[in-house]
Amino acid sequence: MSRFHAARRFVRTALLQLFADRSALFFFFVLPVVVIVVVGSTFGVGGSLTVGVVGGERGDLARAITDALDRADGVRVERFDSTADLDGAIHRFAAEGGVVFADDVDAAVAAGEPAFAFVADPLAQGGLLARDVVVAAASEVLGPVDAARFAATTTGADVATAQATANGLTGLVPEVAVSTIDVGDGRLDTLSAFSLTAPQNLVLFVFINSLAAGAALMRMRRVGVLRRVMAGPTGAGTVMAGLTAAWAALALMQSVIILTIGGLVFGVDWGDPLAAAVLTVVFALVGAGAGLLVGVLFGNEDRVSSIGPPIGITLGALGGCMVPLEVFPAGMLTVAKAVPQYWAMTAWQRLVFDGDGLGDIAGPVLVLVGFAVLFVGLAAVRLRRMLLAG
Amino acid sequence: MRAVVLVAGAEMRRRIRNRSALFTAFVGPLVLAVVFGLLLGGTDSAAFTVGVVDLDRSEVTAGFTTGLVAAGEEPDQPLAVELLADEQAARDALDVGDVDAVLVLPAGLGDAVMNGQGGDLTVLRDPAQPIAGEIARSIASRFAGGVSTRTLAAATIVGLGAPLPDSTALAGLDESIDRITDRAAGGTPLDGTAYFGVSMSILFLFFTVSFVASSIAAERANGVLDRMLATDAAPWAIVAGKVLAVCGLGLAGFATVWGVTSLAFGATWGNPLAVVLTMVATVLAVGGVAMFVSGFARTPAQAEAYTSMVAFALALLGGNFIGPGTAPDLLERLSLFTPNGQSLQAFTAIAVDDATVGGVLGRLAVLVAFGLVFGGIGMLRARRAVTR
Repeated sequence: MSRFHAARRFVRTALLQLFADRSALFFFFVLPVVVIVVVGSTFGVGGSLTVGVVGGERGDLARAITDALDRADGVRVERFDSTADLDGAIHRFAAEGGVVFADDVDAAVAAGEPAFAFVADPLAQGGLLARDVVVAAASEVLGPVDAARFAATTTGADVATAQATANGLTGLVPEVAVSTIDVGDGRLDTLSAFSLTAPQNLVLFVFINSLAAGAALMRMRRVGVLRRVMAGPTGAGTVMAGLTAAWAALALMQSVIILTIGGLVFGVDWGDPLAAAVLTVVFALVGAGAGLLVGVLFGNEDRVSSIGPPIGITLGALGGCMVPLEVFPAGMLTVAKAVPQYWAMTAWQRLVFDGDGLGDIAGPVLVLVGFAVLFVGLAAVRLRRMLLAG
Repeated sequence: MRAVVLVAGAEMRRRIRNRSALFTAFVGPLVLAVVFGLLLGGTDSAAFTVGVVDLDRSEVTAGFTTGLVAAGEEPDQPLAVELLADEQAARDALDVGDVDAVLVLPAGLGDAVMNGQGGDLTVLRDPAQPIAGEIARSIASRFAGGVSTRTLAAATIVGLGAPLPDSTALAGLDESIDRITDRAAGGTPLDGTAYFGVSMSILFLFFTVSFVASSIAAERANGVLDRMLATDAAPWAIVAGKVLAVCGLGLAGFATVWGVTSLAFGATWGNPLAVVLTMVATVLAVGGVAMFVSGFARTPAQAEAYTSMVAFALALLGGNFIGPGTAPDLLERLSLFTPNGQSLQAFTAIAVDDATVGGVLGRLAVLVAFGLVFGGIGMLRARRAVTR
């Protein structure tokens, strides 16, 4: 039997077994889509900084500062009833920092006394970022008040008169304005909210399910299917080619379904079709190789079933499938480069977010080819030894 | 009772000999807790680089950029500042991701500011990085606000009939913003490794407890169950012994994660008694749900598959894969209908609010109720499976 025909038989058998197992179908198709829906609708592609406010109703100035915070892009304002609630939220990472207004903010500002406190975890860097945002919002509101107070002190006029004069001049006096320009080709403006989570879960689940499929190879070894195949005119090389094709076909089928649902249902633009296709095929081969390797290395199906998902989740987390690579601490980023998921995610981000083509992902794709060759090669050597040993 | 203990002992020995069970109970949750804790344990890794293009190079703008660069070089600052030659260099740096946002100081800004003529600052931002854009805008606004306040003060003084003050006098303007008091949030911060230690322990508890159903199915297939039933051991005692063994294994795994994250990573879990009782209640609740689900299985493979499905579904709803404090309100409310969410909330209250047993009593009651209701039904089904 030619290798081509053998591979076709192996692929057919693997697909028939997959469709006969409803729980496998759940993990192959339903779970990835559910995760994409939950994570995509929860987080989208942007981030936000949460600033807590206590006493935002304590005077006109407190209300104005809170409104200024509300207007800031990328900032979510959360109201709290007490400082204890705000402290708890900061320590739960539900807010990066917060403002606690004095009982009467207007009177405190007029008297030159502290009008509010900024609260944060001093060890958390998010608190320093939140402070910048709060200071800018407060400065916008308190500037005219400070100007009037200074003018009153300098001229000897009463504060109310100075404030009325300053209010009359606000808008007439030239100010330093701040304008914001979005750069780029506009591609990011049109991105679906699922553009980050869809590639993340494509990479995560293709690899996890490929590892889990290693149990099927274990089963084939245990019940003697492979030995019976070897009893015929089929060589070890043909068996290995067939197995690789079958495992890659399963990974490819899962990939195509996630790509299709991502594109059609969630509006994900996967980028250059040729580059996306190459990346999908290469990563399917990486998954297939990893699955075969697990299937020949471990001694029983129990072990493959129980160890596969945690290994897949850990490597996925390390490779940027759960947290964007951009927010990785430097040390973790170095570690991440040792796992194939990192290279797959790097390539997908270039295709989806930057609109790059095949040439731009050549580096990561070549690294993935290296992983695939390594995994399949090691599995082939080990399996060949097993088959020839009987 | 003796039968329960004997079955539990035998089952425990089998589980310990089978290294995959040890992986599920101990190694898996510990490794994932550390990895997730390092990646998602809060916002400490948030850091941005803001570029500055000074096209004016005046005394005013030089003072501003020097102050910014110096602030960015302070230890533990999340904000680094990079000086860029011109706007094209800024756009290129943004394009390749070298900087997250850019502040452009236009030519003539210094003179305009000194003459009270206002000016324009421009922030170039990447739409995919809204926080970095807002930080750069905040820095620009703070500078603009200071200048605008002094310009308005000068105009107000003139409006009140006094002569125009010089820049030295205006420099002494006392801004309310300088009187912000900074306070450290009271209490104990949630430790990312501890949070994910709990999260991952809960997830893996499902897999550990599912061994009961897969063990019954396997022993029925190989005849061991028939031989056990031929002894004095009652069917319920066989099931109870297996449940006791896996719950003990799960609890030991949970406690190991607690010990290792506390000793090796300095994680603070809070009041030890409250932690232990919440662990026991969580094991009971997860054990109950896993028993209930795996009770529908007829083969070991089905038991594993059903439990995995429910484990992942509850982990998603319960917030086990999401960093602390990041779940939206709806997901946070939904999580309370799962043992995962109740347990995570209880552990968080113990760690952050210094809650004692009394402070988490309500959540413990819910967890125990989960365990009794689902576990009770699961036990009945398992007992029926034994005698089938």
